Amino acid sequence: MYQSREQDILPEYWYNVVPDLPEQLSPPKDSNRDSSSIEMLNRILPKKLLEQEFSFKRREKIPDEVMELYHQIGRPTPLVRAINLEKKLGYSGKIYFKYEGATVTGSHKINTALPQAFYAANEGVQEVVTETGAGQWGTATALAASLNGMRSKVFMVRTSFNQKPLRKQIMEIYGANVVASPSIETEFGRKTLSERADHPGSLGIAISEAVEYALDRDLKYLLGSVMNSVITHQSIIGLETARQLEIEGEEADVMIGCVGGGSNFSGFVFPFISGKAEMIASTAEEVPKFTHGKFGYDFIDTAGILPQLKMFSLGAGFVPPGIYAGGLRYHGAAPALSMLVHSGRISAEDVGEDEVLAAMRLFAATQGIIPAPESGHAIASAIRYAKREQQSRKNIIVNVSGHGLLDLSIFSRGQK
Amino acid sequence: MKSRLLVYLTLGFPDNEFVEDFVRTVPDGIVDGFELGLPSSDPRYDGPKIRSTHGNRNHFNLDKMDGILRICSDRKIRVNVLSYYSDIGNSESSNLLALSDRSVHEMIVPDLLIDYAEVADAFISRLKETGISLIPFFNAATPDRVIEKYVNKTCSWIYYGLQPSTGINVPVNISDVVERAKSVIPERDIIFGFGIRNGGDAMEIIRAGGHGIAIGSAIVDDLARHDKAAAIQKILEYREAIDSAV
Repeated sequence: MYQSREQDILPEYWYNVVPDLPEQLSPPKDSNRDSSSIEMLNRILPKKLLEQEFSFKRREKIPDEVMELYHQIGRPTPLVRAINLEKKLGYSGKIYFKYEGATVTGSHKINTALPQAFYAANEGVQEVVTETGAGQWGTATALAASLNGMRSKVFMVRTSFNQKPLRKQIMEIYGANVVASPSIETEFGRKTLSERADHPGSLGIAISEAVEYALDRDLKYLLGSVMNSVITHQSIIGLETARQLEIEGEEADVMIGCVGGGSNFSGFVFPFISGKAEMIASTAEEVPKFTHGKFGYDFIDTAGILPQLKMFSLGAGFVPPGIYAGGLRYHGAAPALSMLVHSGRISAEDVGEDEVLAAMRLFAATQGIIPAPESGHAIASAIRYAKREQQSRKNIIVNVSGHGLLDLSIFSRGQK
Repeated sequence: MKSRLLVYLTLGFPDNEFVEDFVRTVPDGIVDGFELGLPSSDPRYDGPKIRSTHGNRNHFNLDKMDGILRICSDRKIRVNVLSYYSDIGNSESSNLLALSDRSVHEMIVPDLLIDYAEVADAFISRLKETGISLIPFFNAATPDRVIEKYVNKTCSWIYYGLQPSTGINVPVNISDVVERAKSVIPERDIIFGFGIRNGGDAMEIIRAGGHGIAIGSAIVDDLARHDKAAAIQKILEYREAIDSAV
C-alpha cells in the first residue's frame, strides 16, 4: 500500500507553472510613490528565492543538499488508496490520498521551508524570521532553520498561539523563538494592540510583523505560501503523485485539496494542469475568498509593506473568525491559483465546520489517520464529490496536507 | 547590424519645452527612437522613477506632442507611444486617429495582454483600423502560448521586459531571459527594457542576441534637474556599451 520505499518517486526538478498558464500572470504591483516594495524584497528574501519568484523556467533543479534533506524528513510521502473510505461511502471509483502528514513536521510546509532555509544559509544568514497561522509553517521553518544551522523567530497568530501550546513547544524544541502576534516587538504590532488590546491576530498582521522585524534587523524572511517560488517548491507533492499514479497504472480524474494561501493545493494540482483532471479547491465557509472575495490587486500583508498581488481576496484588513482551521484564515490566495479559479479551470467550494468535523471523524475511523482540520476540508469535499457522483467510477485524488494530532481539542468543540 | 537604442520620455516631463529641446539636442546617430509615454493616473508597471514622471496631467493632450513629433520627423527619428489600456482603452477612436494623423504608427500598451487579455483582440483590431500597430509587450511571466498567439496577431518588433516593473532590480539572469525570448520568438526583432541598470546589462543583452535596448529610468533624475548634458552623457554611455558588444 505505502510506496515510500520507491526511490525513483522523488523528482529531480520542481515544476514552475508560470510558462504554462493560459494567461499572463499579473506582476506584483508597487504601491509606494517614492520607493519600490518589489525591490525591497531584495533586502528580506534570499537571492535565489527571489530569482525563482520571477522565473520563466518550467523546471528548477532541486539542489543535492535539499534532496538529501527531503529524504531525511520523509519524502516521498505515501499515496494511499482509501479502500475503507470507498467502501463506507459505497463509491464506485477509487479514492487515493497523498499524505503530507507523513513528514517529520506533520505537514507539507517543510517542502518549501527546507530550500528557503538552505538558500538563506548559503548567503551567510544567521537568523530567519517568519509568521505562522496554525503552526505548521512555523514548525517547518524552525526545523529547516535548525537543520541549516540558523536561529529562527516566529510570529504566531495569537488565536493559534493560545489554542495550540503544543505547536509552540515543538517550535521551541526545534530552537525557535516564538511570540504571539500582534506583539509588542514591532511598531505595527504595538499599533494594532493599541487599537484593540485583545486582538486575535491574523496572518496578514503576523506577516507584517515578521517583515518589519526582518527589515529592522537585516534578517531574511521566509515565505509560507502565496508566492510563486513557494508553489514551485510545493510542486514536489504533485510530481510525486503523478509518478505514484503512473506506478499504480492509474490517472487522476478529480483532484481535491484545501486552500489557505494556496501552496499545498497548487503544488498538488499544478503538475497536472495541462491534463484533463477536474480540480476542486476547498475553502473554509468562514473565509470564503473564492466565492465572496474580489479578484484584483490587494496587499499580501495587513500593513501594506509588501507589494500588492492580483488575487482573490477578502481584503488585507480582513480579520477572520478564530476558526478551528487556522491555516485557512488567510485573506487572499496565490495569484496563479486565483487566475485559474477566475478562469474556471479550477472550481472552488466552501465547507463549514460541522461537515469538516464529520469528514475528519469518518476519515479517522476508516483510514486510521486523524487529518489536520485544514485537510479536513479537502476530505469533506472529496466525500461530497463521491456521494454526488457515486456511480461515476472516477479516480478521486485528495491531498491530505497534514495530520491533526495536535488539533484534537477541536473534536470536543464538535461533539454533536 | 547596428543594435537599437530607444529612449523613453513621459510626455510633459519635466516640461514640454525641455523635452522638445532635449530631443532636438541629442546628437545624431545615437538614439534610434523615442518612446513617448502618455501620463497615467495608474502607471502600474512602472517603478518609482518613472512613476514620479506621471502627474495628473491630461494624458491625451496631443498638442503637446506635436513639437516633439515634428522635431523627430525632421531628424528622422522614429517615435512610438506608450499608454496604459486603463487610460486609453475607453478613449475615443478619434484620439487614436489623431495619433495616427500625427504619424504615430506604433503603440506599446503594457497592461493590455496582462490585465485586459479578454479585450486584447478587439483592441488590436481597433488600432489597426486607425493605422496603428501594437508592439506586443512580454516579460518573464508571459506564458509561451500567449507569446505565440500575439506574435501571430501582430507584425512589429517585440518589447520584452526584464523586470516586473521599470527601473527596479530583482535578480534575473539576463542571458537566460534573452535566450528564452529568442527561442519563443525566433523571427522578430526583440528590444529589451524594464530595469537595464547600466552599460554592463546593455552589453549582456546584445551579446546574448537582443536586437536593442530601451532605457528610461536611468535618465529621469537628470531630466528632473533639467540637466540635458547629463542625460545625453548617460545615453551616450549606453550607446557605446551596445556598440562595443557587437
